[in-house]
Amino acid sequence: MRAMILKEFRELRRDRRTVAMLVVLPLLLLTIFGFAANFTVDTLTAVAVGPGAADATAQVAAAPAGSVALDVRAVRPDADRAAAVADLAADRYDLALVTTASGPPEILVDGTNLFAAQAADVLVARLGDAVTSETLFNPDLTTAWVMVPALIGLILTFIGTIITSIGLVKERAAGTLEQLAVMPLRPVDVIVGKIAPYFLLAAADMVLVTVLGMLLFDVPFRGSVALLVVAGAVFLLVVLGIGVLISTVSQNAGQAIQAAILVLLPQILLSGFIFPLDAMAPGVRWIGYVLPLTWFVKISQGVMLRDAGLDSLWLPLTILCGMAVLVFGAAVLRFRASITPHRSRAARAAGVSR
Amino acid sequence: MTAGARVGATWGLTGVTVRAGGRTVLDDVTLAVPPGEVTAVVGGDGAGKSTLARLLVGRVLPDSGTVAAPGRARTGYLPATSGVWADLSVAEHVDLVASAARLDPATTRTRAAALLGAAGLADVPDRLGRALSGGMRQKLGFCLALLPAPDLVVLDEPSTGVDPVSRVDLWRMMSAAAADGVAVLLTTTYLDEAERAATVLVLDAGAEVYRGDPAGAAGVVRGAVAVLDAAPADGTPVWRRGRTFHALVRRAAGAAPADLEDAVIALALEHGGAATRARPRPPCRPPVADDVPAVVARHVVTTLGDVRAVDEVDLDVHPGEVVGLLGANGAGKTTLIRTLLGLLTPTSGTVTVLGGTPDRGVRRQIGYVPQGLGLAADLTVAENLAFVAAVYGLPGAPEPPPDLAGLRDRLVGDLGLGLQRRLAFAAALAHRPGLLVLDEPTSGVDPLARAALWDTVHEQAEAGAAVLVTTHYMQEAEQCDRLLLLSRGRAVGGGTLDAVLAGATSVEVRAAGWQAAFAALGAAGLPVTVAGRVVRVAGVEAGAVEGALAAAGVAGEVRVVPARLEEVLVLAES
Repeated sequence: MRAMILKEFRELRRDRRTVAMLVVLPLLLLTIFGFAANFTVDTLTAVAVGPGAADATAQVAAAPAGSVALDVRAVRPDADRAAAVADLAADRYDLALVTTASGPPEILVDGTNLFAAQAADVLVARLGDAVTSETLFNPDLTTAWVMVPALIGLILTFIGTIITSIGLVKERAAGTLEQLAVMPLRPVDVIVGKIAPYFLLAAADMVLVTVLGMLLFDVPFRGSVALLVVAGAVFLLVVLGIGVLISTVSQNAGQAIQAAILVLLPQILLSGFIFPLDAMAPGVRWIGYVLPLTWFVKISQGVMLRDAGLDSLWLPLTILCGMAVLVFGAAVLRFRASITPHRSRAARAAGVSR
Repeated sequence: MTAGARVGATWGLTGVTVRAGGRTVLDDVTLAVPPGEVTAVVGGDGAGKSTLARLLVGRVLPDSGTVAAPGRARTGYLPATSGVWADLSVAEHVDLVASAARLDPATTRTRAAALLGAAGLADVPDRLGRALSGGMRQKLGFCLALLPAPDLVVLDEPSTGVDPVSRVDLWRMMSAAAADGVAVLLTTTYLDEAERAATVLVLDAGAEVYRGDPAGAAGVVRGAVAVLDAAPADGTPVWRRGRTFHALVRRAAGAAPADLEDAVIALALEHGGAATRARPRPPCRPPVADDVPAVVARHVVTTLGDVRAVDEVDLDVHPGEVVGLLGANGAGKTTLIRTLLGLLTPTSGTVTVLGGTPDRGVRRQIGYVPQGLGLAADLTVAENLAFVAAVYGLPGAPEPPPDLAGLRDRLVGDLGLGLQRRLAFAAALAHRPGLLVLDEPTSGVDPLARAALWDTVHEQAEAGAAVLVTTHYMQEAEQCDRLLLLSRGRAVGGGTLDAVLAGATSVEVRAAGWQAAFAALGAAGLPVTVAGRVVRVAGVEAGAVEGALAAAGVAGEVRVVPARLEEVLVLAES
């Protein structure tokens, strides 16, 4: 038995991927659950509008401080309730303090940031009769409404990363990639032919999940379908690119799955759809900002739940486009290199020095 | 195959050198691949065969020299992995290749019908790639390579892991393609296969050892070969063929090499092969005193599912004896071995191994080298040996064989197949087994390395070990003292190689234009193949061949010759 154990350790030591899994995964999970897993929102960002904006801000600030702090970022006496709703739809603030010429101030809460909305409810309750309140976009704070748009992104990520990389790696492991490379096909035929089916399948899945979510959970679709379609297509290019990149560094399906898990886990946990990004430690939040799913979730929730438009979603969309160019471009180049004839490194070096 | 012989240029390589990873993979190699002929490249693992094949299909570019190839659209390619998709059906494969090559549907239908018919795949259009046997997969891959009517077809080890029946089919298909005017290049590790090509290029570590007519190789050996009954005491380079020793000696002291294998070994030795391949001296087991058979199997039946994979087989293996199990894929070789090792329980019959029923205790005295070698690729040479020593409870780790001594700390996965096989042998012999079981012990290695491996096997036998090997290659079969021929689970023949071959005949046709004779005999429905420029038909009367030739108006010299081993195996199957 000792011989078996020793042999297994020796083999494991040389299998860098498994060692990486053993080291990286615990660290990753520790970081995520230590710094990021925080359902409690302790600071709410707010905007105050209307003639009495400054007074109302002072009034709320003077109320006994609880566990929730209010951070009023802007005071705009000349703006009205409609402007405040637009600000919330654009996800600029967690809540809005609306004052009119008469009557008590009204607090508008964005119901699509579940945990912030729950914190806001605590705040409203503390203020008592001094204010009225309304929860917008998701009045019953239904979890499914928030989850379904995010799930669309997660499913696209799953198909793009795991299914695509396995599909490609299978071809490499079976040696049939070699066959494709010598057939009278252009590299672009092989690349597009190999990736397009996954693109179409993922697109079909996206439609299916959206429609099912709306039918089963009454999730609203308030915004522009075209905007979500464009964002979905761009996002799909990013995740397909990740899948292709994984396949170029993997020799078999097992390795591809290992790599895909390392890419998927942070996206699931740090993209803000389970744990609120605002409640994360700044360093961890920045990890979230480099993950494509974070930005797609912002767009899908904004479009479906808050009727957010391009004027407020241009930033996430631009970031996704940039990621698509970088990741998909790198993936196509690497894949192309694996199916075009290559010269040995020594020959290339000799060619340069000549 | 309707197209007539195309008038085409000769394809091939001129002075090609390829380097990769600081190593010269091909060193100034020149080879012409003319249309209408089969050209073979032979060599072991790491000889540069695959690189040569990939140069011709444009997957690798030469560092220097030139490659003449008809281009992607006019080249067919069968990669070593057969290039068949596990989840596509036969018909879907045809569709894929036809549309990649932009063939029109009518041409696709006629060509596919002809090719798949010749391969015996016409009746299974819906079968998935994964459901095909190794031989059928290779045949499908070959059909796909030929579907677009290429000028050049490149086949990388088409027969490795393929049973003899499919191998003969493949040769028939290759011959037909060549008769049709296609330039055919194949790579192989087996000389008996290369011998059938019109031109052979023998590669050793990327360098040419011999190029030309297979029959001419003996003529370029500087020395001569002496056949001896005992190994010479001086340092004369020597290799075994069965129970005799063949030595490379001065021209006057021996005869010209009798076959391609002797010629290639002699040439490799003259190229300096001996210096790099010192022969191993594994630990020898003290001879067994009494003559109790190491293996006694009586009326063994082993059922897998509802198939009698081994059906009423009797087998004895005595100490000091090398016994070969011969048969096609599915003949029951592996099932019989697993039954003898105690990994499968026989449904009926008795198995006695080293005096007892095969259990864990008995297995401690068996050395087993599976086809997959059973080495840990992520461990070094020394660590693999240490593992084996620890498992068998040996006092210390065995020393690696001399040619691996300098590679103690190299990862096994980085070694060539020949060295890996040597290490697997050393690991299997470390505990001085009384019975050695070897599953296709030398597939994939070059002739010199194969000779060294067989030296080890014979040394073990002489020291008193019983040896059981499976094979379907002539060169391995002739190393055995006795053979058992299996077909569909049953023993259908046995004895010495001569006894197995005795009586089986083949008809040879020498004609001025072999293509015409081949076409005529093929059209008459005879199982025809080509060896070099000679047409062969196995298992039929000479009269039938003469009749078919006369009917087609083809002149040729017909004679009856001894059958080759794979022809005997095919006849045993039918």
